[in-house]
Amino acid sequence: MTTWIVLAISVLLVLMALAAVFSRSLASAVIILSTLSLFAALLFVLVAAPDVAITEAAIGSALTTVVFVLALYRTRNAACADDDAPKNAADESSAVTRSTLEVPRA
Amino acid sequence: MRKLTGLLLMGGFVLYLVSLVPGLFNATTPTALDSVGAAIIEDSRTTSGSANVVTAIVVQYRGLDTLGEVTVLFVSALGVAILASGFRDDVFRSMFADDDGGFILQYGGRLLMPFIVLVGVYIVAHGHLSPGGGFPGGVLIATAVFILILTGQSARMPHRLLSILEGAAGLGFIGLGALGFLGSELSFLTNTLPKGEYLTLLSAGFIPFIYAMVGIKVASELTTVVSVLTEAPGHESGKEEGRS
Repeated sequence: MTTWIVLAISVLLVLMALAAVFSRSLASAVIILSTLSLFAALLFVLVAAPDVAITEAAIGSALTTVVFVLALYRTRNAACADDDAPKNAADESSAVTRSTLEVPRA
Repeated sequence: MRKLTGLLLMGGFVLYLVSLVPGLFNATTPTALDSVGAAIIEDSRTTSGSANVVTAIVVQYRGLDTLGEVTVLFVSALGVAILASGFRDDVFRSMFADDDGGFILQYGGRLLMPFIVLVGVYIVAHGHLSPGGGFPGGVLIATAVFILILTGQSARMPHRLLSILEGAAGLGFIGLGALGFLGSELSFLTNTLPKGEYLTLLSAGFIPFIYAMVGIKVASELTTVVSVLTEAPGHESGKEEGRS
């Protein structure tokens, strides 16, 4: 039984990784990766590695997401050194980031 | 072409994961540990006195690697702090300082934050008894501080205090490792402290102390990373405008 749960979670992890790779906006990719980390932690528990599971749940799904979202938010506001440079991925994610994170009222 | 490559890589990864499932592909999955693992499990109770063999390996058998990991984390936190503060050493206000985030975040965060810190301290303190240790515990404490930042409770982080804590914890790690020179083996990171009673909180010699140092160091470093990322240099610093 555990074997089939582990197998199902593994397939789910691969599907989530594909979704993160092919997702249009960086913000949703970050959230998908966070969910992937949670399921990976579950997988580690099932294969009897609780140490790795705790670390994966804390770092992968909590801290990495926080740092990524904050970095996306900060790079949106950053002044571009070269305005003629091709638009980077931060631009297309900015709309999603803006709707996710409320701009603080100054 | 790139998508095809990615799909092939993913397919390979699926095969890898599937082959990890015992008894699915090969009927002769090894159930016993190989030589090194078995030797360490047999040896760790007398050498380290730690009930959690993973902790014994991380802190004692490869303690120098752990020191290196802590150094890597320190260097990356330093890089984030330098880049995100824009090479200016003024202290900026958090960008969430004026936004209380609504009722649910405000009171839910205030209610949850002490319990998250408590769980983090528990995980750090019981690293040699149960799964966990300095790294995940420190990350949990940093996450609790981030909740505090989100609710706008901490307009300014005590960066000086955080850096002092971080440096003191690093020095404590090295000092505890240098206690190994007092023993007969005369080598760095040897467990010379008394082992105590097996499966109690004060057992396993220097392992809980080193994990406490790692926990303090990781927590203060990651708190610095998260708070520096929220303190935007473009945002008006609170020096000129009167803070309420």
